[in-house]
Amino acid sequence: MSGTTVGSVQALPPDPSPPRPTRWRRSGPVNQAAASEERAAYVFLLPWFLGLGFTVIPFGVSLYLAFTDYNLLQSPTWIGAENFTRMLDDPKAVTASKVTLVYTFLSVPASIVSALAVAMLLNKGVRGLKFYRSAFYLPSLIGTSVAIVMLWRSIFGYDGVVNKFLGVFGITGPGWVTDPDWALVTLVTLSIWSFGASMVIFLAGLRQIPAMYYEAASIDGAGWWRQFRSITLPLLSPVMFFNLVLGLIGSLQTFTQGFVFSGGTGGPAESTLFYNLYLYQWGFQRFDMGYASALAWVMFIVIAFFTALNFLVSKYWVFYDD
Amino acid sequence: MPTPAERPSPRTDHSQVTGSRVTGTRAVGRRAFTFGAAALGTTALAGCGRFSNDSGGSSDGSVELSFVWWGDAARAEATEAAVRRFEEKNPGITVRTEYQDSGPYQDKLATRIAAGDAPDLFAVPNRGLREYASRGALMDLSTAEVDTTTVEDSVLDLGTVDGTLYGVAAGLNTLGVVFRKQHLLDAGLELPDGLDWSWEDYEEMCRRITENTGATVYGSGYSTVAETTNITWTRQQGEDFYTADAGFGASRESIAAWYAMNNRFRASGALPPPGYSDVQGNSAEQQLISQNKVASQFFATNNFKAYNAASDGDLLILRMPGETTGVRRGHSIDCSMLWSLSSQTDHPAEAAALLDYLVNDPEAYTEMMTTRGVPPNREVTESIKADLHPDDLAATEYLLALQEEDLPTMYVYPRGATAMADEIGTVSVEIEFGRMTPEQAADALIRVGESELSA
Repeated sequence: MSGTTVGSVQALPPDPSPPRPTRWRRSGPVNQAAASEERAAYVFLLPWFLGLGFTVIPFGVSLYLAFTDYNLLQSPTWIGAENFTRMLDDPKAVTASKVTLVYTFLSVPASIVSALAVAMLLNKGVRGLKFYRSAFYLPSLIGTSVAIVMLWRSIFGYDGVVNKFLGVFGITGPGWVTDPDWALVTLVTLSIWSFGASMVIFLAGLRQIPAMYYEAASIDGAGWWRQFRSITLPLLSPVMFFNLVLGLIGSLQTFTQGFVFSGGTGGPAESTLFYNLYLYQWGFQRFDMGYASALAWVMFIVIAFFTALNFLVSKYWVFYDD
Repeated sequence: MPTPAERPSPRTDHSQVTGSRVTGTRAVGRRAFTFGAAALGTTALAGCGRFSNDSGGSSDGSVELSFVWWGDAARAEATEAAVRRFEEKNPGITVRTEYQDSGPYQDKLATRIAAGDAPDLFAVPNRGLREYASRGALMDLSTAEVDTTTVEDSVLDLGTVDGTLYGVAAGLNTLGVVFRKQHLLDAGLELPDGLDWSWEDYEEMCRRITENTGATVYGSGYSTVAETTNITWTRQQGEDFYTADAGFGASRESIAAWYAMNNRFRASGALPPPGYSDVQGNSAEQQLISQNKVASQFFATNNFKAYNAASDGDLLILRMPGETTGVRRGHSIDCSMLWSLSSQTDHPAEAAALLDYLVNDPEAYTEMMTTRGVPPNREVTESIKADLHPDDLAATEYLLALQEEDLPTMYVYPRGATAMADEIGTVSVEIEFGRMTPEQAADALIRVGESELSA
């Protein structure tokens, strides 16, 4: 017998079968099948490695430009750290940071929660699972496209579908697109609507949780919520970590949605002035590529900081069952 | 105890995740390899294609120029027809053209020049002339063989920065009011002639229309986002928004008065409530007036034909209110774009020939007509008048009549005008939603005017 208590999965007796190829914790493949998988992985990654050469050079140049005054039309002139000190006095940079952080901390957790909820629903075994999975996945593929953002803008327009629908109940909706208090919320909604990619990964993760854990737990009398907290969440935590890290990195760099939604202005009244959009304005509309490069490097450092923080904290809540 | 065979292992049980049958890991490995190699090959080939560019001279000794502008497909078709005719007249010169919508075009222009790929002849936005000229990107046109004697001095001044001519206006335009006749008549109002009406007259008319239609159509939908309206208003108060020496000349009182007046228009119902206008994009069909949500708007006159077509031909074209009741005139003859030559061009003589053709040859305008505005060369304008569409003719006569009068000069925008345009956009929304007072708005604009603008 197992002698286990529900909730501490580590108490299960050791598994007498041969070791499975692990997830990415151990350093090398353990058998030939795993080695062939690893080779396949490197082949798929090959284009990225080659592309690295193309990105390393612009990286270096932009780091150089961050210390110069460069208006695109004349050669850059060295000005040292002036671009960075200028940032400290720039109220718009603060606004842009606030907009981006608010957007990220609203949309990323909400996306993950929705993705998990829908994945759990689909995992119950619905008819037409493949259809629903594709249907939910599709928005994440097109969610950042120009066409969808424009469509979103027109759906939430003053006279758009959403307001007409609210009008049926006698509610006059605000200008979702034109009111500075609501424009960012509309974009957050768009981001949450595109949760499909994380949902598919959660679904795969849920499928890997052995049914016997749930069986054992329900035999021992655990309710749905207890099972969710003690089996699903811990075993899904690597997937959640993955989605969190990628979601954070991607969301902090949002550009297209802000650009198309506001026509490049960051309006209304700077409520959709994403940090990336703000630096785009300096680089491409205001003839100051040096300042834009400095802003970009600060963003890089901030994102790296958040990612490192995520990894550090992960050892307290991410559970790898090997 | 569950055996490994019972437990679904991710390695062999792909069916649950991918929904397809996979035969085994070895097949995956081999397939992955071929797929990966194919992907690699494709990216390599795509990369090769990128760097083959055809530069100016081709094997038969002919010269190739590059010519870019912004606009829609209709304008592009007309411009390309003009370019083909130039090529026929000048064997040995071929012209490679490209166009974008105005926003992307302006964002791309500086990058193009930075990449060393400056077009030989291109459209410079009026807001950017000083930015490009002061940084050496434009050729001094007095050294180019372009005949500018046919263009009036006041028009040449539009392209002159610090005494040097850098661009020739591609077409002249000015502000105007478009008004839907039917709503005026329905509200029992006389059709205005726009020659001596005040801002109060305009407000009253619009208020009556809103009342008459039960706010299904608002009397006015003018936008406060474009800086041209600020500039016009400021002149009527006796000041210059952008001064002759590339500074900021609007006073706190006149800016605050403008936004206070906008608030009054909104309170009385002449303007729609906050957030009403979510129009984005410059096409005529998207405008509020074309959708019959408002009865009047401000606009740039070279678009009259498009606006009228989108509004079922119901539009009147009128001068801005307050021209006779202000301290001085608000109208000026403007241009939204200028033709300039790149200072880095390999073919200055040929590029100058193309510019000369665009400025002086009536045959260039056979298709282009007044899509960019009234041609800068008066003789060309006279010669194409007979063939103009009635709407284009109406807009042209409107501008020519104004040109006869003694109007203020539109000074070349200072450097940093983009920052001011952005601030005006932000401030307009803040005022609209009551998040800022007119005085605070004025302070914001003055702050930007003092810190961001330069010569």
